[in-house]
Amino acid sequence: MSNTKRLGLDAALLVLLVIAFVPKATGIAIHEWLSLALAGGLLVHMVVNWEWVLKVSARFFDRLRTASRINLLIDASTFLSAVTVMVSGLAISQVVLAASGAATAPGTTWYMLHSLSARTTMLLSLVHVALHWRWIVSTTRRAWNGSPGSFSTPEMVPIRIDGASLPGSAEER
Amino acid sequence: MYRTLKNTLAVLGVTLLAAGMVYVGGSAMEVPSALAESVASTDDAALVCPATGCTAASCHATSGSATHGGRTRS
Repeated sequence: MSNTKRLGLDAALLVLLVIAFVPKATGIAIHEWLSLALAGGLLVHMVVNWEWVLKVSARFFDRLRTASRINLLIDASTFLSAVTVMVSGLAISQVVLAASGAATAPGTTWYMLHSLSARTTMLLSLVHVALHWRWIVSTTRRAWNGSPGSFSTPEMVPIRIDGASLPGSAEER
Repeated sequence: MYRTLKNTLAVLGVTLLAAGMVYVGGSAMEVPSALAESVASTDDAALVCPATGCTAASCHATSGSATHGGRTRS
C-alpha cells in the first residue's frame, strides 16, 4: 500500500474516531455501526503496519531508537484500549447485538469500562498522531506534489544498526 | 499476497486474544457488583458492610457505617 493510501486510511480512521467519540451527536445507532466500521479500519491499519510491529518488538531490548520504543508502547496501549472500547461497547450494545439476535446483560462495570477506555483511546490516538506528525506532514507534501512515496515510511524502518540508519528511516531524511 | 494473508491472520489472532482477555476481565469485575446488587435488593441490605461487602450475621457493620467493625450484633 502506498504512503498516500495509508495516509488516506489513517485520516479517515481519525475522523471516524472523533465522530464515534460523541455518540450524543449522532445517535446510538449510528454510533454503534460507525464504531464497528472503525474496528474494521483499525484492523486494516494494524495489518498494514504489522511488520513494523514485529521488527521493533524483536529489537525492543536491543539496539533501537528510544522513539521507536515509545512508539511501540503507545501503539500497544492504544490497541489494548481500543479493544477494550470495542468489547465493552458490544457488551452494552443496544443496536448491533440486537440486530444479530444476541442478548446483552450489561451491568455498570461495562458502562464504566466503555467510558474510561473511550477517553483513553482518544487520548492515546492523539499522542499516536503527534508521534507520527513528521511522517504525516512529509507524506501530505509528497501527495500534494504528486509523488506516491515509497513503501517504507519513516516509522516503518526505524531500526538503527551499528550507528547507521536503514533506508527510509527518519535519520536518512 | 502470502505475507498479507499471514499478517492478517496474525492481527486477527492477537485481536481475538486481547478481546477474550478483556471480556474475561470485564466479566470478572462484573460479578462482584452483580452480587452486591443482589444482596442490596434483599431485606438484609442494611447489614452489608460498605467497606468490605461482608454480610456475616456476626458482624455489626451497617450500610451507614464507613468502617467494618466486626462487632457482634446487639
